[in-house]
This record gives sequence, C-alpha cells and structure tokens, in this order.
Amino acid sequence: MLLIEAYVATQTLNEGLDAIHDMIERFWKDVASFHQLPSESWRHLFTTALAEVAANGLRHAYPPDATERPLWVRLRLFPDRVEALVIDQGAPYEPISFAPDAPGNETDIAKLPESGYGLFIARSALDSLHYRRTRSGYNCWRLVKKK
Amino acid sequence: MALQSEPGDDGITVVRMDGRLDLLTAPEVKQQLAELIASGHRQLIFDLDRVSFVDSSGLGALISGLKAARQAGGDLRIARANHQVRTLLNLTMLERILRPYETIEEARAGYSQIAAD
Repeated sequence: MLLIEAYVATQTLNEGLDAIHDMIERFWKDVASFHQLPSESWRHLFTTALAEVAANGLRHAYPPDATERPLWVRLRLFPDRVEALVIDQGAPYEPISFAPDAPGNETDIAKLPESGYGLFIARSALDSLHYRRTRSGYNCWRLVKKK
Repeated sequence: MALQSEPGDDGITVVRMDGRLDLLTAPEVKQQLAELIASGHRQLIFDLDRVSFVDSSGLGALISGLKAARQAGGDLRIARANHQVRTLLNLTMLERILRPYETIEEARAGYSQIAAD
C-alpha cells in the first residue's frame, strides 16, 4: 500500500542538487504529518544515499560540457519501506566504478582515495540498490530502505 | 570563495563554510585548502557548524586537505559536524581518520597536546 509519493524533474547540475534536497526535506515533513518518522540516523542514511545516486547521474551520465542534464526522482513511502527511483537519460552506467571497500579501511592516509565513494555509500546506507538500463535508453536506479 | 579562513596567534587556522559541501562546492574547497596549506597554514580546523550536508565529493575534499596538511607536517581536524556528517563518517569508517571534535576548543586542545609532546 503506497502511503505518500513525491516527484521532481530537473535539468541542470546546480538546480538538480538543490531540488533533490528540497524534495526530500518536504517529503520527510509530509511523512511526519501522517505517520511516524523513521529515526534521524535512518533518514540521514536514506538522504545521503539518494544524494549520491542523483549526483552520480547528474555528473557521470552526461558529457562534462553538457548544459542539460535531465534527471527524474520519485520517492515513495510504504508501510515497511521507502523507495526512490532515479532516472537519467545519459550514457549507460559502467559497473566497474563500484568501490569495493569502506574507504576508512585504508590505514595509510597517503593512499586514501579522494573519490569513488559514492556508490559504496549508497549501497551501505540502503537495503538494496538496483541499476537497470532500459531499452529506450534510460538509466534507472531503484533504492530501497526498509523501516 | 567557498571558505572563510581565520588564522589564530597559536598557528592554528580555523576554516568555515556555509551550506552543502558536495559535488558542486568540493572542487573549490579542495583547492582553497591546498592553497592555505601551501602558504604555511598547516594546522587547520574545519568548523562544520554551518555545513548542512556532506556527500562523497565533500569527503574527498576533506581527505585531500588532510593528506596535504599531514604531508606538510600539520593536520586537518573537523569540528562541530552535524548528525548527517557523523552518520556519513561512521558509514565510511572514516571517523577513525577524520575524528569529529565536538567543539573548536577540543580540536584546538589536541593541537596543543602535540606541541607539548
């Protein structure tokens, strides 16, 4: 049973991140009006994961000089979970960029990587993260976090 | 300028910023930290009080600053991180490397300890 749903569609990098943060803030407010909010840590983990997946789409899916970077996000609250769908129209995602390990496991600071944590963060913060490329040329990410 | 810096008499420079330390702001923050360290501000405290959100790019900028400061014989410490930032540091196990200090004074006290040693 779907309880609450929210959508946002964005076109550019700057506007995209602002819109997604605004959307999720409003979403938690809506949730709080009708249902019990998940804990603060839970919400931070979900928001952080969503921001990472969206940033990934906004930055990597489109060429560096692209001025238009269409991205759609749908958020859904169910009794037992929150789901997000993040869709972009860019190049197919290359699974090789999946970070294998927690960055903090590296003890030699000089060797600590400065990037590539995004999807590690998203996967660790969620119960599931699925990617699929549609035949019509969209990248679709489905994020699920159980309550 | 994303960062405001405030050098102290004790050789410790406190840096501050407003808003999100993310994909959009991280490159400039990284560059400004590198410039500060190159100009001799090797002991840094990053005051995160007015930082609302940090993502993986933001973490990358902090790690880059930490590495540059350590290489120059100094350090970069973070203070007054909000709940989201602490959750992120915990998730990535980076809190052992970037320990979040409760207050600026606590982060500063750690530096005097090193000087005293």
